Amino acid sequence: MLFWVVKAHRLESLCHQTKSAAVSFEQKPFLILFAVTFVAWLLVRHRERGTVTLLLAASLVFYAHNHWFLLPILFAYCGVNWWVAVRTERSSRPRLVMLLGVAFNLLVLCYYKYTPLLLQTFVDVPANAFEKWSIPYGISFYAFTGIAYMVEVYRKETTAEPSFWRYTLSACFFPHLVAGPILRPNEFLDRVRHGALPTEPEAPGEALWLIARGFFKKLVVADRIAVTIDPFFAHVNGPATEGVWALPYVWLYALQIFFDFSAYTDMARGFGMLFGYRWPENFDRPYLSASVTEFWRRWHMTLSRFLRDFLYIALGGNRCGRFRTHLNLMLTMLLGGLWHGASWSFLVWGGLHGTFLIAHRVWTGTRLARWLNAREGLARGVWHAVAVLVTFHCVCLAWCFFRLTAFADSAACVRKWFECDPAKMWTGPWTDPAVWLAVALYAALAWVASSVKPRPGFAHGALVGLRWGTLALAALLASPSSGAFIYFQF
Amino acid sequence: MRLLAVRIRALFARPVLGGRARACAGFAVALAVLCAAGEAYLRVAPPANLQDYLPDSDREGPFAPDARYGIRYRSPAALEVDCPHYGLVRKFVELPNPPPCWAMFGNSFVQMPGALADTAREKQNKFVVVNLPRVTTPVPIRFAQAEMLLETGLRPARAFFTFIPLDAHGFELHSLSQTRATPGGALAYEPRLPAFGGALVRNSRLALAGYTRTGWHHARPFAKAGALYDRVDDSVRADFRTQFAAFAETAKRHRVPVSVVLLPSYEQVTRTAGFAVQDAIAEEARAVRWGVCDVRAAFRAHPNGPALFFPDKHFSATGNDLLLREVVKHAEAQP
Repeated sequence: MLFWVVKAHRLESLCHQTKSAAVSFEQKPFLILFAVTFVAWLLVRHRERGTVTLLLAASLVFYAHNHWFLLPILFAYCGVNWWVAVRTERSSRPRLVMLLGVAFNLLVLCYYKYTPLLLQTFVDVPANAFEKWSIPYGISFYAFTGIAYMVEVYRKETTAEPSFWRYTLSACFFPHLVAGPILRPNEFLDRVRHGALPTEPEAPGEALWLIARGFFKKLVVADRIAVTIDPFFAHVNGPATEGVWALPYVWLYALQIFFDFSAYTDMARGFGMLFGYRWPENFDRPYLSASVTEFWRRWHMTLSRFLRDFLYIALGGNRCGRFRTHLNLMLTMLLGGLWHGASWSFLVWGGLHGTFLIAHRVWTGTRLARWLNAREGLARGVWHAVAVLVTFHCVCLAWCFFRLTAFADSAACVRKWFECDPAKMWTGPWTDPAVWLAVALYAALAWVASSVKPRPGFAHGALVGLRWGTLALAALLASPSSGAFIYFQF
Repeated sequence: MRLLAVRIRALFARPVLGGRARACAGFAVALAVLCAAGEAYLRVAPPANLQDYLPDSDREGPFAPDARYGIRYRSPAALEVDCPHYGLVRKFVELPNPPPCWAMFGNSFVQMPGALADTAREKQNKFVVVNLPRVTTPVPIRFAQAEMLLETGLRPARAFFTFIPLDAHGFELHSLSQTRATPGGALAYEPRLPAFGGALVRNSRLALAGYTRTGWHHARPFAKAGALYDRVDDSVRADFRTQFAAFAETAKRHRVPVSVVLLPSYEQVTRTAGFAVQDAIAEEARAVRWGVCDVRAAFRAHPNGPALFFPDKHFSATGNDLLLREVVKHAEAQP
């Protein structure tokens, strides 16, 4: 039955391919735009005004490709944030100015993201009334970047950029515009300021590897997993998946979202490095975390950092006693969940993570936890493995509510972790070796790339070959149907 | 002697390759290892899009190779697995005095819920309508379905084959001579090999994967579906001719009259796209003395052309009603 569902789903997805979202890094228009921009940048990079104009123009074309109506929103954000930062520096009431700026960012963000949800929940508006409602893509990311900038100017951790165009470039430079990483002024804006613009690519070999592995992760691994699991999640609460074991599909979704999002970040960082900018890592092997607290230090690190610095600490952090610390953790995660999208299921996702974080804080204070953590040798290894497995499954549980925005579907998915027909347990699309081998192949490539020391001679040549070869392999092994990056919707 | 020993030692102490040469060797080794890994991956788990071009793969399906249609159904049981509706048709055939029926073959314009077959069932009651829905129905599969139905006893009052312009594009992508069945019975295509490097493409799956991404593997590389409105290539006509001639023989043997129904596309009805495909198919159908139901005039004369289509460019209920009226009119006019 699921076989037919898979086939029908492919047809269905073909029918909807004409609806385009943002230009994705693997699409031809982006590759052309990037090639033209990079060549032009090589020609003008020693002239600051030319560089700013070129990169800004390319970024606007990237953002507005097929979506020209979104440009005023982007300009409004940039204009307000730039003006607020400048006024914050000069005003006698900087806190008020900064708060007004932050409020503008949040209100516009909330208007676009949450109007349908709020109206459907509290006013009796039918769901199809918002069929044509679209959220400007990337708005969450550039709103957060803007908030970080204004607050840092207010805290005098950075200075306001006097040039509107340079600020706008820092806010909407195309590699990071749509899905981050969420950059702080010292990580990017300071390199766009007068006299600080880079004129050489930063570590082009490393940039090539980031781009190559990003393409491989997205085209070969994430997209292949998507083809395998999408039909299951589309019919998770229907008869087609009755008796099917859900857990392997959730594992695969966990892998898909990691490979998809980290692929975007890798490519963004790689493209940024080719223009001379080095941006922070966003992922550090998150599924090897031994606690949910550690997971959030390794997953979407720039968002975690933002939530910690501008929300958790602003709420009081861990300075106001145990209850307030737990409350702050929960509030931070709930708002972090809501930031992802206008659905109550994202709130549940955030709530689950908040609960796990609180549970972990309580657990680490127990005598048993201290005793287990004090073990050495094999016992420590076993305990660590158990902790990693438990953490991974906690994260997977939360992913069920992230992937499926209808409660009935999420609940059905979690129920099917435990209720399944033993005859169907080891069959179905999840057993497709192509998926697991793609993951294994990537793991092997990443391991080799991190093992080879860049010494001159053979090793250097091998490393270059590995980078170009990975890029070529990504093109050759790419899944036939490539969807947009998952985080484009946020 | 001592000097010689020093020289020999110096020779071995020096690297065999210079720095640049060693780097090149490293580059080549890395590429070779990656190619081997990619090849191994595609050997162990070829993705579905590549499997379509592996006629010798172990994929299983309901088909067997056939010289006339490229493929045919291996058995009635195989047809029933592929098109579960065949079970109903079998029961219909086994009736002592089955009522007169029409057999309809085509793609989603016939098979989709609410499309021609359903409309005919709902809006006319002279004939039972027999059709075999399937997820995709390329032209060779339509003839394979029809052949099996006739061979297993169905005697429709008329068999209708519907075609849209995109069906001809199917032969531009994969000609009849490229259509194969794997040993296990799955539909596959022999890729059109390049003049240079054909052996590499034939023997390496990685090379085949790269080659199939270029579009050169198609029967008519880079042919655009839109160009069919103005001109139909001889090779495409020849494929229609072959299939029509083969099925005309079967139909004649079982004394089943056949008609082709030529459906216009959205672009042909609402814009100025030409009708070269319909003209070519009509000519080939007349050559084997089949009826031709060309509904272009009725569709173009409709006062509200866009209303005949859904947004996905399938026929709307109004379009299907109009189509059925034309089909009935055509059937009644046939001798």
